[in-house]
Amino acid sequence: MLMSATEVVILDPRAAPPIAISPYRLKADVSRRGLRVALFSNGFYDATNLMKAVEAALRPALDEPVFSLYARLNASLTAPPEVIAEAARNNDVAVTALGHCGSCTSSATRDAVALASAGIPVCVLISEKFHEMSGFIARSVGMPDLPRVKLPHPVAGTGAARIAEIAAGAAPVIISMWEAAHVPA
Amino acid sequence: MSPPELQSGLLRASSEQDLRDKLFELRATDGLPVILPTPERVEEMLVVATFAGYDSDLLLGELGPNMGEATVEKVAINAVMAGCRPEHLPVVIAAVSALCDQRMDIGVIGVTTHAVTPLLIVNGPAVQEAGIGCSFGALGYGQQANLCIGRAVRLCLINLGGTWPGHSAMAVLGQPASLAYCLGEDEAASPFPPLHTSLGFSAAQSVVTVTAQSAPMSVIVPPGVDEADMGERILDVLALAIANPANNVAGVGLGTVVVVLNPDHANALHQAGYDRKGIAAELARRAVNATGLIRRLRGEPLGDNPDAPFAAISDPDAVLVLVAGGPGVYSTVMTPWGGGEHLNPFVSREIIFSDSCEIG
Repeated sequence: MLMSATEVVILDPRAAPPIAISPYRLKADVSRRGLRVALFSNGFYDATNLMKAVEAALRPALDEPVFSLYARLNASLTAPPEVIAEAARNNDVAVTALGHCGSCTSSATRDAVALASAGIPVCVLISEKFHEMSGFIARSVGMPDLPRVKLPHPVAGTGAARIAEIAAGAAPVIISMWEAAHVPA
Repeated sequence: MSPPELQSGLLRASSEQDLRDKLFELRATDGLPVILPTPERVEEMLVVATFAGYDSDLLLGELGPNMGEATVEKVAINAVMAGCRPEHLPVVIAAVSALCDQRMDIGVIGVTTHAVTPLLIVNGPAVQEAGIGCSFGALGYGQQANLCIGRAVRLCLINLGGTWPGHSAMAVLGQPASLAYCLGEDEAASPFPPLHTSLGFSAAQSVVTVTAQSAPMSVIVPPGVDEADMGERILDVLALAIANPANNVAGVGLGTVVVVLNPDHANALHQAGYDRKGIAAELARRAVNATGLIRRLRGEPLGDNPDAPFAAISDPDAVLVLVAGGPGVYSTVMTPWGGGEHLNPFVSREIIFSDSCEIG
């Protein structure tokens, strides 16, 4: 090993994930009538309420959309593969939520990656306090430019009116991400 | 024996301090100064791995959440950084191998806002061979092996698992044990067979058992005027600590609970007729709350039967009872997070010091 007299050399203790990067290249025609929208709630506090508010906020912006809610109760778990496959088969676009803690940010992000990997345009809703972590998870599973919508914090526990306000603010961003008009974070 | 060919990339700087600063800037340390992992130091560390039959390029698994590949070489580099002596490396290798087990859900454990962190419990001859503390202050300062081994595992979680506070590791406050959380069982002071023999290993085997746990909670059970009920009082106090409604486990009843009995308490329970399995069963029976209390405290509807008991321990086999620490009136309880696909279990791995076969 060649080194200068004053140079100190050590071994790098880090290891990168051995996962190939999958570029996110999905886009949807959101103007189509009857757009089928999958709403994934991981069951974090108020996640399902947020998704219902998102549905209400998206409905007037789309042409007779059809919504399907996929709600579970344990936010630390990802959606089962068969649920992802079914949702990808029977919907045109998807939204996952809620990233509002460590494990739930992980599961919501991983759900979104799984849906994107199944070929369906998607975005994940993450509170601003966990947005950076969501990016880390997306990179670690090989989809660094996964569309992620940054929500204000907190969302959970803020009440129906505030959640509706947050959903209304997120709706146009969600649509633009489905159209692939977003700039990756 | 020729030195192993190292595969890791190199980091260079003009001084040792610059390299230490660089490692911190790269988020490759735990914040404390490290021993610099020069190729010479890592090669020396890897000699022990070679004796144990581990090639430096052997892949132990991938550490979540970043899924970095935990090769023996990478583990050795991090062990050097932690200040490990060569005899500590087999314990670190076994612990990292356990953490790579999918059942550990380390990718989720590593990111939760809860404060759980991997606890390493060492049993068998390794306690002596690696010099692991198991008596007074085993989880505190002054325990070189415990601290260096625990620290090496944390460094692996940082450098291979990719955890970093506020970036990927979201523990709201964290806990000091996230720096190092390792102890041995004091088998000589225990009236019970060693913990690992109840997990399917022989007493002659060295084993590390890994489980993600909260900070240790000290509980007091002093001698009383009527020593006949000492065992029952110990069980009641331990059960109350486990069932504290503020604990996650009180509300989910899932995950591994760790009870560290000091030798005096262990002997009192033994004299009262309890073995390890009996202690776990009694704790599961006694650690309960009213369902309504748990639901009210978690902001949920009380439901139809709020007086029904809700068990903090749904499976007595998920209770690890070991003996460690000095004698006295204090024992220790650790409780889990209880989340993740596999519900915060424990995983044990044999510690291999040598792959040579004895002939005789």
